[in-house]
Amino acid sequence: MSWGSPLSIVAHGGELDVHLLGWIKDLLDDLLGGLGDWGVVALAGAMILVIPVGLMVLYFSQRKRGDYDAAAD
Amino acid sequence: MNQTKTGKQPLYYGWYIVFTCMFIALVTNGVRNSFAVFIIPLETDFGWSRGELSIAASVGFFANAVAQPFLGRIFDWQGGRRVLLFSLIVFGVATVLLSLTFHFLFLVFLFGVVSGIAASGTSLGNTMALVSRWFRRRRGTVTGINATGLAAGGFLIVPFAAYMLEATDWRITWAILGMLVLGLGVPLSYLFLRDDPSKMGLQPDGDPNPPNDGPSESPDRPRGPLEVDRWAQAFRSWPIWQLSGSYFVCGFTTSIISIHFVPFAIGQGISPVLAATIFSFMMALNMAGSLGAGYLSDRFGGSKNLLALVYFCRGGAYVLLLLVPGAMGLWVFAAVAGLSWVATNPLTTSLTADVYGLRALGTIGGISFFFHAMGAVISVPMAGFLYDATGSYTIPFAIAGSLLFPAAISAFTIRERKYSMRYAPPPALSGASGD
Repeated sequence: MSWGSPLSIVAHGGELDVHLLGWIKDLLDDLLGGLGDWGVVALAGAMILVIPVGLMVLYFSQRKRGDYDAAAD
Repeated sequence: MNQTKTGKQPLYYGWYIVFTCMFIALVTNGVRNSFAVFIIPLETDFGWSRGELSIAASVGFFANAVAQPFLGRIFDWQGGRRVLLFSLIVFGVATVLLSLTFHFLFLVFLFGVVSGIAASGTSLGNTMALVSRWFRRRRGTVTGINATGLAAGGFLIVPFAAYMLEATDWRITWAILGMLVLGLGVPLSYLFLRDDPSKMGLQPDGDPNPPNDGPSESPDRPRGPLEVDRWAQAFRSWPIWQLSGSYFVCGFTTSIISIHFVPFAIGQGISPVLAATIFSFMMALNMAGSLGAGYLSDRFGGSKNLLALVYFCRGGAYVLLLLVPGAMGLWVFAAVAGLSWVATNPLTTSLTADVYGLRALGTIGGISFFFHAMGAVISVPMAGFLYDATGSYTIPFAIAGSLLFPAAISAFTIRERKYSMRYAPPPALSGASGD
């Protein structure tokens, strides 16, 4: 691999990142391998959902109490 | 909103803005960083070379950097809600359309140009400018929370994309990533993002409205001596050059790490998996560094001192990296560099907002981020060329480390107490103050 190629290294998606991702994925496989591909997708997806779902639940619960009646719009 | 029907104090609306902006950073940066996941499948399906695919990423990097000041200008002109929403929609649609990739130029145009520019609209420069409007005393803390979205995106979205790709294929994965933006990011932004607390009858930080004062901007708001209405005015004073100069060094030194740390570690005789583990540890500390720096700057003041300390420590870490061989030096470097990596973002943005005010913060922040990106553009190829020429990372890492000490001095010599509105006297007394 050529570390000097400006095109491959200026970009953060260059050659090195593929190898690094592979190694990191090996680590994840060791940690979460028992879950299978869809299991890891579901776990990561659930963690991604935490912020939007949490915000909406909190907002609508406060709105239901009337806290944001005037503020929301 | 300070009074509620239930008598309980509601959550200040600004927190919805903060966590929405954090989520925007999480999804957009996560999707951008997932590009590497698609390289091998695209090579396999289309026979494109690694260099060709890197062109798409490079175009995206440049388009993103160059567009930031312009999108920041539109932010100042049109307001954050419009810019962020429109950029998110374009970003999401472009990501879905990447699933239809059939030609190399299609990929370059969509990922490089369209998605790169749209990501400028949702960049930290703009989201931090928005959250800065909602918070004054806790500005460091909330910009720190906002910045953690960067690292969280790498930790959640990239593995999500990698395993999704293994479970399905690259076309479905692009489409799902785009749907993630359109199905979660856009509705959340539409629901929560508002440009200014005064338009909702609120004060920054959730403070109570002053008596006999409408919901609009409070007359007793302290005004700093360098507060500007137009971005160009800021560049006639020293602090923005001190901040942008040190931010250039920040981009220079973090980008070298992100690309060259693992090969350097392997060159030290470390196994690739251990090198990746140390790198992951460093990335995990990003979030702690960002949160900690923001909180400490609010708690104890003196953002420029903290910023100088961050640069100084990172410079010291580079020295240790070169002087302490083997895994010990790498772990120590990872700990210090990891904590300092994103810590500069909240400190630089909150200090910029405190000195120059909010009216042109989108543009000024965009220009600062441009300096940061230019540091990356110069440093990464430079390190590669020097490695090829000398067979070692000693010279490029020594250059990076030695730049950090002047950056620390640059930050330390900012006259924060004179220029920051945090230290400005109330208007009744401010007639005597000046530049």
